[in-house]
Amino acid sequence: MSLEWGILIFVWSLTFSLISLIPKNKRRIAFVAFLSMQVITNLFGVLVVEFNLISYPVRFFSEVYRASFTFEYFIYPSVCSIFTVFYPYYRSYLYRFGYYAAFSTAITVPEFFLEQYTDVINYIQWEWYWTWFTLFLTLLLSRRLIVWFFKDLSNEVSSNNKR
Amino acid sequence: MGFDQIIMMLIWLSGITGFVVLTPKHLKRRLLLATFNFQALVWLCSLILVSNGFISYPIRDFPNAIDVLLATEYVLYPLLYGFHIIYKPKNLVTRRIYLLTSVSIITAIDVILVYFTDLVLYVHYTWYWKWITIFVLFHLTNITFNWFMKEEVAFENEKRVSP
Repeated sequence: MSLEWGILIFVWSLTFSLISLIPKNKRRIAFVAFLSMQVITNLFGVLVVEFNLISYPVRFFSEVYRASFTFEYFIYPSVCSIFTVFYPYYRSYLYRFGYYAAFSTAITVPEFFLEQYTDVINYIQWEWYWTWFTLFLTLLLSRRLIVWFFKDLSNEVSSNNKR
Repeated sequence: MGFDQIIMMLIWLSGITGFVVLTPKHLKRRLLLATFNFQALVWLCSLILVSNGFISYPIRDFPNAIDVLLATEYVLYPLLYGFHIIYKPKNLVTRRIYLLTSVSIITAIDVILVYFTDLVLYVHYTWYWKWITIFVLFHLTNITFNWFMKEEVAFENEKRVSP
């Protein structure tokens, strides 16, 4: 087994153990965060490969899917659900900005080293700061979506149960 | 632009306009959640089917990146499941017939695409396998969706995601 497959398996198991840390009473929020981010990344993951910006030489479903199944389908949605569950909405703007920046950096740094030293990911026409920037934007987007989603949903659920 | 490309664009357009126009405002969240939920499973299922050579999509929207047709597997079928959820009837018998009809409609669309276009090709597959696949996917999605919607009390504790 090559180094790359070892990394992929390690990343899958690490993320599994991370999402098991999500508190039980926040599982629904995590669930919505996971699904909404998955819809976003599935499309964007396909787009960056379609336009030859990034390639993933070692990947799952390699015959039919040339984007990274691991990252788009599981890792980033899981990170997003952890991001949402522990989001410090009661803190100052600066603190929250730092929270976004910390999550973006926490993914960009390992990705940069994986790009340099392994075949898990290859930048064709891409730079690390583009990664950082898109991560930041997609986290912002999914945060908006989740806030909108949970705003009135409880009314919908209760009205449905009464009906 | 060929006939198949036009059909493909029509599917994308009808999916997006259908979502914008036909969804009642107070049911948008419910529909989106169901759609996202179904999309996650369809994505995985079609990747497995395509990589094992059961189905192929000769003409597709992002041919360099993925061998799956996103028009149906990413947009149309998930949205149809969403509409299925929000218009679900209350009566139990009607609900059974309604479920069978919804599954049959999706199968029928797929079979029409097989016969009249090059968008979908059943390599080692038949319409009744498609029907069973969709039926199983409906039930799998129902599990998580119903889990999400039940337990109003638990839900009340979680909804406090302040912006």
